[in-house]
Amino acid sequence: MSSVIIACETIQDEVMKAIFETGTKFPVIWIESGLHNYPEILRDKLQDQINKIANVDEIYLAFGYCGNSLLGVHSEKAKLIIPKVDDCISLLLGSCKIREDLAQEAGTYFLTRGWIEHENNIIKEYNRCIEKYGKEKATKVIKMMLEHYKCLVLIDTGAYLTKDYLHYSHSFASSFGLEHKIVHGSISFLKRLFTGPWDENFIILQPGEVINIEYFRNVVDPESKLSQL
Amino acid sequence: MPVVHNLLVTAVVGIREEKVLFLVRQGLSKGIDPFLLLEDIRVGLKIVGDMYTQGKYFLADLIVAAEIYKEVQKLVLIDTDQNCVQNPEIIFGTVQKDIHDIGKNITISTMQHYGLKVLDLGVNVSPEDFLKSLVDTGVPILCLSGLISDSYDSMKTTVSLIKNNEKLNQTTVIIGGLVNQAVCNYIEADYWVNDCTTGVEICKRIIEKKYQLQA
Repeated sequence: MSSVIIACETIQDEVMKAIFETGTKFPVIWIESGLHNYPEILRDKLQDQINKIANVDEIYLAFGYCGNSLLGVHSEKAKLIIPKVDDCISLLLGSCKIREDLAQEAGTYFLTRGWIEHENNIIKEYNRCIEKYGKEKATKVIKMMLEHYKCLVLIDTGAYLTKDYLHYSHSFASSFGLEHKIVHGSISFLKRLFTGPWDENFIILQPGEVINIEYFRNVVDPESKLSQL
Repeated sequence: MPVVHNLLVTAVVGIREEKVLFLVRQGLSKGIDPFLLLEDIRVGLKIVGDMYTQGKYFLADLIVAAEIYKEVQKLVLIDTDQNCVQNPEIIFGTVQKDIHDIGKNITISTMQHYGLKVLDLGVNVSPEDFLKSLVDTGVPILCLSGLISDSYDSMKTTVSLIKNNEKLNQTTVIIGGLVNQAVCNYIEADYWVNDCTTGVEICKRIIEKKYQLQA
């Protein structure tokens, strides 16, 4: 059985840790970071990579649904195995339920080293705005963006040193009156993606089958593809 | 005065607030119809929105541009008070489990620009609250906004409640935010949009049709 992993560069730390801990030998193709705000571009890049892969039986997608980025993605020749998560935050916290529980307490903005370094996160946006519009306007705009947020969470996935980013996230949270928390994450989802067994938390598509929005929602027909393990 | 209009659109596209306000004041002092000036701002905002979609601008830029629009509204003395909407034509809200409202607020501003009366229910609005508001007001259009995947289920539940209520069988549901045709099919909404101008056009068409039927 030959397999390949396609993963989002934003979660590279966690993917590499999961690979190390599971002893996975499959090659990894990285999809560049910074595309989370542009799901159609992300989808096209992902599909383009899948189309270039030949002579493998299985492709593991280390992605969440990420704002319809996976919608329509398919492989003509290989089986696709995908975690059933809304986005990579759920993937790094261990489940959508944990994310939902955390977010229910208050509007929560999540960060990891990958998001801080590679994505256009809120802190980068603030600094960019200061340069472009001045501090007063930048502060006003970011306050608008964070109006319903109450908490900033740095996820400790165990794949990077949170102490290196603590000051960065904490000082921003203080500036905007957000509670700052460090929450323990988990790479167990990624490890299970690479090793199996794949339960109802994973979607398995046969060659030619197309990723559908309903696979990721809660109202799933029990006879659907989710149960075809 | 086409030069003023072109300069105004260009200043909005460049998100240059001081320049925009200067040109609007100049235009007003020369007797240009305030609505035409606002229309220039809207044209500029549409271009800014397109540039955001293309990745040339970021969300913060979109917000600054929308703020410029609000400042211009103040200059031309247009009342945009959200809290005293009489006889609304549209109910708008960010659905349950979601708190993102930048797109909603920008769209509501654009709707007001075109004279549409919008009742804004805010964020994290439950399906039951949307239903109650629709029944209480008899408003024909419901706009649901959402930016996270969880919002799809809240939208779907809201649409399901509406479709199962015989008093609301004429209600049109429009979804916006991180949506597309597949999401619209899943939710069983009537329309999906991801730019505010299209949303306004759909609403205007529905309201005009309603008045024609009543005439």
